[in-house]
Amino acid sequence: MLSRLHKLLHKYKMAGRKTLKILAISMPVIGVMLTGCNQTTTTPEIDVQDAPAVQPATQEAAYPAPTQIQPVTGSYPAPENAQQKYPAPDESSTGSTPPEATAPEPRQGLAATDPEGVLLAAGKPTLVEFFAFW
Amino acid sequence: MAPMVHGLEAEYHQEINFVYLDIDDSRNDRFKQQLGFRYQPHFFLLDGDGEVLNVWVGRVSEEDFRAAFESALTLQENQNN
Repeated sequence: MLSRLHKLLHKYKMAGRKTLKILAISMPVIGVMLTGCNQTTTTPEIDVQDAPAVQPATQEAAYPAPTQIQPVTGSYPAPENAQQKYPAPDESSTGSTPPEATAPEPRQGLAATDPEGVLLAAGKPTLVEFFAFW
Repeated sequence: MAPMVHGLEAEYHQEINFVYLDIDDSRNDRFKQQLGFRYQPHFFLLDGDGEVLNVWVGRVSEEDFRAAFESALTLQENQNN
């Protein structure tokens, strides 16, 4: 019984030594790997005096070139019943009638007065009408 | 408005001069400037001395013309007396 225990202890000791050996070998390798990774991630120091001058980005480069929009050449259909939406105003509903536009209207039998014979101060009242034949 | 004015002319032609000036006639430009023509129809009622008594632009009712004519004639009679 004792001999069995002794063998087991010896076995565990041997296993622990092997583990220690593996750790002793692997630790320097891991350390070297970590050091290498650390060196690659660090930003290298740049000498500002030797660095080339950085040209500022122009505004034209910042924005894309404008695109030309082609006009729509199609024709839009006329709205249905467009004239029916705005009926003619009812004259009875309007309170005050605005002055009528001077739409040209035919004047039958109207003859213009000869300007050469016009005297505004004629010694009696005078009604002057400016008109047009159109 | 020509028929209405002409009807008044037939009634008042003894007491009032009726003058019809064509705005497209360049010879009337001096009257346009003198009276201050804006657009047709433009009416001016003048007294015997050529002074402007009434001005109408656009459509004028026959009653307005009649009232102005009677007033101008009354003023003319007072001046003559």
